[in-house]
Amino acid sequence: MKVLGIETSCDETAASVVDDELHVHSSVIESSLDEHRAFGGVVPELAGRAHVMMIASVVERALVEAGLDPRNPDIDAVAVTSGPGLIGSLLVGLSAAKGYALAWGKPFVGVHHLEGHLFAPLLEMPDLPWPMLTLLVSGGHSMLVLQHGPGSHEILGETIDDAAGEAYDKVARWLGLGYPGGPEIDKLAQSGDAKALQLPKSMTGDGYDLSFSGLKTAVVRATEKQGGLAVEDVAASFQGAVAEQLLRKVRQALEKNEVKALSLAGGVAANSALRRGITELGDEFGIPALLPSMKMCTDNAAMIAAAGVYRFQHQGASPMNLSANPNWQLADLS
Amino acid sequence: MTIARTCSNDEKTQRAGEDFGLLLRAGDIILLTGRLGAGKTTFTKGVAKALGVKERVTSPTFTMVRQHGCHNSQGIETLHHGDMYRIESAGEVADLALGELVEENGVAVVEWGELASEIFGPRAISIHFEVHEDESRTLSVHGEFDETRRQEFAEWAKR
Repeated sequence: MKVLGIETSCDETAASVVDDELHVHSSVIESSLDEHRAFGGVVPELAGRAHVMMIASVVERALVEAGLDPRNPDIDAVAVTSGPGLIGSLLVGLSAAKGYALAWGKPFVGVHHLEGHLFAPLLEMPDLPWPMLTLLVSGGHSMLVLQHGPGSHEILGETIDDAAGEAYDKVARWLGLGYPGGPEIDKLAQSGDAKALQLPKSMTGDGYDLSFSGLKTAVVRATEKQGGLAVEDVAASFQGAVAEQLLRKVRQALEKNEVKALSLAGGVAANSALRRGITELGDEFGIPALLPSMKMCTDNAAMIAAAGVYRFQHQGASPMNLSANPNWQLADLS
Repeated sequence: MTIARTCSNDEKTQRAGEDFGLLLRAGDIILLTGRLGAGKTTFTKGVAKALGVKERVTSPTFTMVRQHGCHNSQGIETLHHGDMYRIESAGEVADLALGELVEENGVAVVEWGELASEIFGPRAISIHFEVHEDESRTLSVHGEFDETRRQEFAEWAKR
């Protein structure tokens, strides 16, 4: 069984063909990031327009690279991200997917973007032991998920205010750095002193919830009050505090739950401090720590196709009147 | 006369939001302005509490508008929590259709609302957050209100 996956929930226009053994036959990603860079963030109108311009060629390339006839491909379903994300961007992918499904007479499946992220590690390492603990951190989401098996997820905790990637982007813009903020801050942090700034520890209590808003405000306050702070030191201190909080919660979850594998997902998984910390925790607890490649951590359509395979096999096709849900909660997924 | 209330910490900012939420009427659009970390989301959490929102209110920067169902005696059924941080043009603000959304027994609280004031003009209630040296915040309310509202807001400022 082969599924065509389509992803347009934010920056990336992506399409991919994946089979039911989770082999990736093709994965094409076009990003409108360069256009957004100039504005210090995703510009919704630009994102929507860019998706419209790229979607047809991206889908065609994904089919051709998978050795399929782009006019009448031998696939079993079309899967697409139907939420959460930017409404204008989601609608481009959703409308295209419905159009292809109708034209080719194939079933159509709406996929939750975050479930896609949770499937990403499986595409590179299919024989994982369960249960698996995944730290999912991106520009729009930050959560700690205990997966009992594919498609079975328990959210242990999530951010009570800003997403980790959002805090990175906002601090970066505040410091006059480029977008996306993560790589910029990560790069500067390498040559900075993480102890230069005293930043508060998150106060989310004993549970697994996360908080980044106070940290963001503390950076703003510190840079306003103390002139002449080296930007490298601010970056290193901020990054250190973000990683400390995330890794502390991961450790806590490893101590209190039966976990056989640990993984990272979402765009912030590119962060060097986080990758190092997760590897160390895996070693310490004697379990495999999976660090998916960057192309699997950031938005892509292979993960959407993989989640689509699972949803199609377990729940069948989605109705053709399925609408985009920009606020779709992972917890609402049955 | 300026209507302004000073809050010495986060809890008081949230409390100011909660008190303000009780004064809202269906159809209201509130634009929040002020720099990063000024307390806009904290204030909105207070408004949500007053309106009887059960779920957690988090930053809407990613999806730009989040909808929360409300449970209150003010006749407000939905809180539209918007965020213009990533928006570049007034046209995109119009695309979010907040003005139409609040007509269905809703209210909108919009963070980074500077751009949105071009669209909504005096119809909106603007609240500016100013952060002082000692970390206290002054919240000043602007807009064109009838006399009843002006008095209600002036009472709010005194608390």
